[in-house]
Amino acid sequence: MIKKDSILLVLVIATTFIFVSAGSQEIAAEKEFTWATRGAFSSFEPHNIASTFVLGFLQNVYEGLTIRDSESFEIVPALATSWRTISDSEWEFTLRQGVSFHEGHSFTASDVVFSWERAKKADDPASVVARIKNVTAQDDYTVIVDTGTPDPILPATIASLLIIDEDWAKEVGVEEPASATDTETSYITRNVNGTGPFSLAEFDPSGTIHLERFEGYWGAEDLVTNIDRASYVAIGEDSTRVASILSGDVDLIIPFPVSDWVNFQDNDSIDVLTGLEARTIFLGLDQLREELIGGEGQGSNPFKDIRVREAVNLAIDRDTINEKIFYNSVKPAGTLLPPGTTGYDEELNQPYEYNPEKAKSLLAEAGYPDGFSVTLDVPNDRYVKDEDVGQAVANYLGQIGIDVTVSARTRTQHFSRIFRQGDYNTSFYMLGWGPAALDGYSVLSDLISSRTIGDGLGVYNIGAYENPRINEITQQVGSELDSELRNSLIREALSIAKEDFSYIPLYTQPLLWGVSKNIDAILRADDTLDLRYVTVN
Amino acid sequence: MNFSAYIGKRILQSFFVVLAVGLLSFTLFQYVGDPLSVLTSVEMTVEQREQLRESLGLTDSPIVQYLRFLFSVINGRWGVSFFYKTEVSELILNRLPATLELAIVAMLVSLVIGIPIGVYTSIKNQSKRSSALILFSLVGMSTPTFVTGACLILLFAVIIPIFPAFGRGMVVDLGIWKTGLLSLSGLRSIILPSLTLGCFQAGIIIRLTRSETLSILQKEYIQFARARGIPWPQIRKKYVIKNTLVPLLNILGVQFGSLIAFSVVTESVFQWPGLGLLFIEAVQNVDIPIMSTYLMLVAFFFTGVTLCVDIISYFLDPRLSAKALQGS
Repeated sequence: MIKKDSILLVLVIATTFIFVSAGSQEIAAEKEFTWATRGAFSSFEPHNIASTFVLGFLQNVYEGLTIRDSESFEIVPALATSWRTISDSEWEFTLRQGVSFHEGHSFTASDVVFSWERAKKADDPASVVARIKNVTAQDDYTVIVDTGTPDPILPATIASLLIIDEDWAKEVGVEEPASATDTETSYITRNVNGTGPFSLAEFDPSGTIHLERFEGYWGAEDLVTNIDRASYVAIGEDSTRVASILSGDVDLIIPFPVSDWVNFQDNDSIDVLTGLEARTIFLGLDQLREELIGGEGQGSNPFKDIRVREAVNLAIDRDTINEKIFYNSVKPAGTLLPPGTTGYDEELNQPYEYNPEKAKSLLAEAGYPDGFSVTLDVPNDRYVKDEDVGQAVANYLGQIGIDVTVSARTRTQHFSRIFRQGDYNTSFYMLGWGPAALDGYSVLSDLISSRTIGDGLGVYNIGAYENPRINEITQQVGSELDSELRNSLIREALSIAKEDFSYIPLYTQPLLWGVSKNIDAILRADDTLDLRYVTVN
Repeated sequence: MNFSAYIGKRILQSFFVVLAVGLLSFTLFQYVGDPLSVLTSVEMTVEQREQLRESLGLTDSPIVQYLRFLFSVINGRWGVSFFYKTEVSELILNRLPATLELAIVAMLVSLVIGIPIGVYTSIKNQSKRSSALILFSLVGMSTPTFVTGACLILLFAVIIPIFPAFGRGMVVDLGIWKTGLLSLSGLRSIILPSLTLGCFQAGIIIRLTRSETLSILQKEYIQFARARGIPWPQIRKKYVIKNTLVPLLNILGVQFGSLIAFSVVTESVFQWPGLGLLFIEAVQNVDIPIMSTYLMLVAFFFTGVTLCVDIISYFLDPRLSAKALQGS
């Protein structure tokens, strides 16, 4: 009996201990902030970044010459104070003086040259790095960037070229970017020496990253944030992520699950911030093959007929998809360029009307009164509710007689099938496009230019839509420096693509963040968290 | 056949099982997707992409890739993760303690719940309380861990916020082993996930203990002991429970292996930074170096545990060694 009692006693003491300590943990006077995202953070290597999430994360510790400000969402000075074109293809950047890296060295022009040369050697150099022909230091605080051909959007794209300390890189042996082909762990994947407002306090490879304020930050005076320490953790499971913010374990979660959103609209402890991501989800149509995949034996490719493409566009009720699947959190789209980008036009983005009767008669007119069959390829883990939307589309098209088989795969399988490396093995597919540098040129050069010419354009024009006028405009926009003319050219190309019913734009994807009531943060259209604007009250 | 020949044969068998699992995994990797779609951005040119694919050795056939992997493993290199750009051995060693600690604590939970209930329900076979407990074990066994986990999180992290909803809490670094069992936040963190995993296992343990005890109760020596007039509590303690534990220990070995392999779901519900979570992420990112190492490791664990159990039973059970001798 004595034995039994003593075990019980130990248990009671242990439990009390655990409970008491739970209550007394919050004594820190420092402002701490913890946030969680769905995807895991990969590494701190600044020059081999394949995702916007990692780039956004790194911009808290590293900086480029320019940065997209979270408040205005415009390109503003960062490590450069000003820039101007000095010839058709050369930009001069004047660098900020008195900037120091986390480990103490001061920032000069040679760091910019070094960073560019290093970034070029990455497995997957950022497109801006690859496009630049040369970077030279004119003096300690002036660099000349030569783009070879005129590049009107260089100040925006160069924001993703993060600057590292040349001396430090040589000291710790990270002159080459960390690569998937390495045989050893590169020092830079776990360590940071940037110029950003936060420095790395602790990297726990099991998932938690602790950042702390960098006291020597050049812009410390104008900084909005009041946090001293920021911790990041990945939480993959939706329900756990929501639970962790409700329980107060974390202060901000990205993303907040769209299906839970309605239940939390007036919650006492958290706010759900909503916005639109600069990414339009659309369906593409095969306009090249003689017969559709999933429609073999039909003898023809109906998508080559503009009337069929129009019918498909008119048959989908985007408003109902918005209401039923997204609880009214998306913006139905009429073009491929999302709001918040250069060249965007609200009028052009008016969705096609929903008109199934007209769609039916258009099909009949085109010679398909009984419809046809086709396979729709969608991912099931890439976009918000991607597979559900695919099913909804199949239902709508079924109502006008088109027999759609939905084939949902994981994102890696989906993309390796529909992209060039899979020989564009699809006739009807879902894709989301967030234009590079938030500039309309990306839609022109990658999605609607002809891909069969072989000039490196239209690589993601999977369905091989073609219009010679668009090809002309794309060439022109690529080197046009006058921004007004450039914007009107982008609009012209997009409206031609719309009149041709080249694609089926569906909607702009929603962004949802869960934020504790005592936290202020700015939700950005690129879905990244800028700690510069996070405050704890 | 003597003892060492028997052991030698079993080790050789295990070795081939591990090799076969490896070959199977490398064949399956072809269907997981294209690693480059995660590794690279959409802006990369096709030529660069193909060059990278070549230098990662992804253009070779699965068998060539497998042989190359085995060769570098023999040389002590497990490769570098595509996603984390970090050596796989480092990642695995970092995650292993979390998984082992969770598995051990969950095992203890399942034993503490499972054995007493198992014994009780067999001794009081006909009582209503027993039937209720058996029903409970059935529920425990058939409730998926992600449901149990989500319910526990809702109850004890959101409604009554006494335990953290995710993670492992603070860890104490003991050199090569980072333990969460020595800090309070670590202990608080392990309670919900180990209960989740442990309850699932407890269902199985209850049923095993019960059937084992029931069969022992039928044995002649129990009848004889009762006939001799030995008090029932003494029989229960000395003859029933003790004899139940021996065969149970055998099964526990195998169960422990499966706890490690199947902790994947619990780990992802609680964002427990263990091997299972690492593996799930690796599958999503088509991180072949991590997937191959993990699968080989789990195969190694399973065969290793089975091998140990076989060896132990060889010593414990004279019938088994006799059979082995007969076989020769």
